Amino acid sequence: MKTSLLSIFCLSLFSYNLFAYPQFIGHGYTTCLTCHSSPTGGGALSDYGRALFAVEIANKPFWAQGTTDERLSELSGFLGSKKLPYWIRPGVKYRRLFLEVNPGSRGANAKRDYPMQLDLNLNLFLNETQNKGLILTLAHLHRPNFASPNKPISSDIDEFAMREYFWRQSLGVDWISAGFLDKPFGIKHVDHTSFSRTTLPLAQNDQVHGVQYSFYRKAHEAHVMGYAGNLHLPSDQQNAGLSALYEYQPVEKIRYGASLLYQESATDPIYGISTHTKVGLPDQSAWLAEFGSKYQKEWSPYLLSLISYNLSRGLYLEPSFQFSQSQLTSSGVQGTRTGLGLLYFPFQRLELRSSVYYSTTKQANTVGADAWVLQTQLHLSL
Amino acid sequence: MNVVLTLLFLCQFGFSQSLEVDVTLSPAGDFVGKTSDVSGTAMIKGESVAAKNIKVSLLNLKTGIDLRDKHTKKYLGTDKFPEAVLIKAVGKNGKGKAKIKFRGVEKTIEGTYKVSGDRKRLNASFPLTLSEFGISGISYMGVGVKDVVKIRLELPLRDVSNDAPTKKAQTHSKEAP
Repeated sequence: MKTSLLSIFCLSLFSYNLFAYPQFIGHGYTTCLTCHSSPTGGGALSDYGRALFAVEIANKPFWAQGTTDERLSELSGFLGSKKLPYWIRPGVKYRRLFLEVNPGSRGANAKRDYPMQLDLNLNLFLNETQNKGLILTLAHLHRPNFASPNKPISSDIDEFAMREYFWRQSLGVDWISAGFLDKPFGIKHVDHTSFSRTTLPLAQNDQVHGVQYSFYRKAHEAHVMGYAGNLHLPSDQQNAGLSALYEYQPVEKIRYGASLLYQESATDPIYGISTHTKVGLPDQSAWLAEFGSKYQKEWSPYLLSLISYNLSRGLYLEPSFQFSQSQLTSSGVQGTRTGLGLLYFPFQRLELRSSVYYSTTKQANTVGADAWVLQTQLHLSL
Repeated sequence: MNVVLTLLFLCQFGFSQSLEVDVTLSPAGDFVGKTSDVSGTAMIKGESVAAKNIKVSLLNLKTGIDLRDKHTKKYLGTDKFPEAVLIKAVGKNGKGKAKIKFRGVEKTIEGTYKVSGDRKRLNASFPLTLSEFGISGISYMGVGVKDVVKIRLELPLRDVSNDAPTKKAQTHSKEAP
């Protein structure tokens, strides 16, 4: 039992991350599509997202103190100030993790240093307004199993996997996306190892083939997706389903949301339900919280609370708390993760993240695998 | 958390005089432009409300991002038209009409309003079509602005229901120093 608890714990640590920052509701940004290619966030940044990164999110670099925000914005493109034709938008994302479990301990500890992610983005558009286009992300894999539960392109090319590829098109106000993409559910935030993303099949490589309709109205946003599952996998692992996310914005910088998910599985179907809130606080800080549960024969609830406190331009302090329970019986495994992170964007294209987590897992009559974890991440976004 | 939510609530509605502009972005998203640099008072008599010569300085309109503030002022042409004026407005039963002057263009617009329970504040709301005032083609880095924005104006309200001056009082008033 102790070994299995430790395995669950380690797996959750060594997964890797996707990129979406819902805490930027503190800056007044509530809709992912303003800055991202994907309607529910993540993936390549749009031109506007790059510019916003340069002038609002990241610190002004020391060598450009005299540079205006206008100029920083102009320099934020893939090739700096050189403008690319409207039909092509490339991008590169690289993330490296330095991780130590129980630092300084003579007992069980572990160190890891490896590239978590190298994504190559290529967005191709049919028109100048870029509201019709193909969004492509090719992932370079450090190890073939880093694509799991997806799989590499082929056994011959096991260093690459398709992270996403979908057609997205504006229908006036609403949008439709079709292809291989993330499911809409809950708060899609940067830590895809969090209980809120791993309890349900919503982690880094859980993209599916489906069609998503994105509905935008004043104070209301909804995404509904029907999917056939991951068609790259054998038919008995594809797992078709339906996922939906709704958010209501009563006033500026406050959103309440609810999500539902149904997905087939090799055994019993998976049901998911959650409610969440995103609150922009004064001084561009934010509070995110999500409470939800998976149901697959048993209820498996989880909780996430994260505060993003903006210390100065480009610098955020992020205390967080997470809880999960594998089932609501005495044999259920309870996990907690309390964290304190420091997130720094010294300039556009670079993110440095350092976090300390105290994690516990416990079960009735069983000693848990408590641990301190120190994580440092470097993220380049070109 | 209740304290935080209360503070947020007060931030939204705390100004006695304020103007907020709800702007919808394309492809998606929105932001709010705000200023408390508003001068003037509305009046209520019975169920009717009226206001005139309400001036809004556009120079201090804040959108939450400095660069966006700069671009907003450029599109509004604040160097040439630093203020918008509600020349005259009348309303009854929650609906009203107003004549406004914005960027040198005078237009009559229709909207709705609410009077606070203590009859001391008026919140008016009306749509405004930017292209009717010579603003079009707003786009920055692929993100545009929808043509119709929503204006929310909060004004102090003076109840003049009992102020109806008599002829004698008016005469007396004229004689006062």
